[in-house]
Amino acid sequence: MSELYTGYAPLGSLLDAFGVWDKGKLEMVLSIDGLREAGYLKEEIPMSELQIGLQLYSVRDRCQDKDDMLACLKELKAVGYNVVQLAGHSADITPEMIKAMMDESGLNALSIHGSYDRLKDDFDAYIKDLKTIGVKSIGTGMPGDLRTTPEGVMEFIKQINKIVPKLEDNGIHYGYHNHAFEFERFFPVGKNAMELMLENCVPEMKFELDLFWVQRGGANPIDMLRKFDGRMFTTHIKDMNGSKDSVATIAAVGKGNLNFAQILPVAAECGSQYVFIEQDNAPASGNSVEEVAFSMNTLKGLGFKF
Amino acid sequence: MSKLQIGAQMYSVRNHCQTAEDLRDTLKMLKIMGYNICQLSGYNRAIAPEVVRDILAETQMKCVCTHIGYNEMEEDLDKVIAMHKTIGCDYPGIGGLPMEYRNPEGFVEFAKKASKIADKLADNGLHFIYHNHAFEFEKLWPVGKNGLELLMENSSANFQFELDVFWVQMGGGNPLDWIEKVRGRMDICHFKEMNGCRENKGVMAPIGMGNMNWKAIMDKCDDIGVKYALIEQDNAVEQGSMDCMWISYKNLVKLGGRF
Repeated sequence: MSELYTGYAPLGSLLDAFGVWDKGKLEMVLSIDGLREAGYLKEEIPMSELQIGLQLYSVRDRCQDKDDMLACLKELKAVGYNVVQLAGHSADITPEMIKAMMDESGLNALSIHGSYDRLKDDFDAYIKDLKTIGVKSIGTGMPGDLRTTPEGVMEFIKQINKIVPKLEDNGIHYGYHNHAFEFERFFPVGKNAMELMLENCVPEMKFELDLFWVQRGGANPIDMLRKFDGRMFTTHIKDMNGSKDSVATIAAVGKGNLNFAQILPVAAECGSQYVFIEQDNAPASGNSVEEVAFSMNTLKGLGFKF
Repeated sequence: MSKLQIGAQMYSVRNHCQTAEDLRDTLKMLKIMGYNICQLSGYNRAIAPEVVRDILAETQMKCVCTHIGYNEMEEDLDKVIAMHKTIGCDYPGIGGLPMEYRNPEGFVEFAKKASKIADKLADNGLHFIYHNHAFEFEKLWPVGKNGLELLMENSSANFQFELDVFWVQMGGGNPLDWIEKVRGRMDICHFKEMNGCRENKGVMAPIGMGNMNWKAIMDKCDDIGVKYALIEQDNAVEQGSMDCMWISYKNLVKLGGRF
């Protein structure tokens, strides 16, 4: 990675370096070509092995209709994305349609956020769907009724321990996607749901750590990646920004305070192969593709591969 | 053992600080637990500084810093100085930035105004400390910086920061990074634990009952020369505030914290 970018706030230091604050120039600065032209990038940036992609939930406003979704996927490919994780698209869009759209747009649907109920109760039919799309991993969270007690979490562990080996037999990894509730310690157990899962889940089970929610739960993302060393295939990121009412808010990568230059190499070191950008509030900006392009440019500027 | 000394922010036990008798008993109990220093905030300000001084002497507790309103400093700084001299406290602090300054121009304006106060306090041997929340971490666009950075860049060296690591975490920052960033500008740190979040707000907890890495935080504080850390748990009053202070004490001692 270029040492120019290891500073705390990539955007802040970019702006400092260029001394420009107006929006036109800002856009130029934030494109890779613009950076290269301005002599800010070295000829060759040593790339991380990690590949970064997009969780399509970030652009779900564009995934409610087949034609719009195809157009959106093409825009994402044109912007520079290559791999995506499915989520948030309309239920009317079938696995076959998705496969065709991916082929046409040239994107790789590497992973999906799927239905826990179907994994549990409709496994064989669901596997067929997953294979039709061709995903290599599936992620879910924990059912709401099991979250609030240690007994509930142990029940989830019992269930998922049966599902994960079956998925692996079909060549698909399972990645547990956390929020912040998993970091609330149960008393008097003294452990939180993440710790219970790490200790009691089958070793094939992977964890798709969402580092925003790790931070929100009070833990340090870097500590947590190390704790889950070797148990990861994919990782989720979004930036965290402060807000006027002192509630942490989701932001495009580079518009908040998380130090991805420091965090992502640790994710790679601990075995994660793919990182997906998931910006839940991107549709609210009115142009979700522009938001996720911003995130991409920030991370490309830090030397990460898409 | 940590170089920094840890104490109790009395705001955490404010339900037991509303009469002179309660304040005395509470400080005495904290002393028995193992605490030696405190921060005065959230107690009944009608208790005269002279009475507070006597209570501190009687309980053998030292008040290392306070939180008072910024308006008090603006309106009558001499009175603030006199009060701190009376109770033997060197670090008058403000608990939060007044609302009207919570915008890009406001941060800069406040930094400049408060620096004058900080300078005058310094002339009197006192140090101004600023306590953050998460709003200072909102990156201001297109400035590309957040409020805390604006405060740091536009204030005098006498303007010190009392980083609250919980709120740094809520703002998306890594507490260790930000402790480094305020190197040379922080004698006092606020310790507050985060244990998951509910309805988008981080849940406060006694130290050790959440997920923050306290060993790393203490080591980093020692590294930059922090002198004191105060335990603040806003919601302790709902959970048995003295019990919470006891748990925090035990857990930090286990990690090598010095009280």
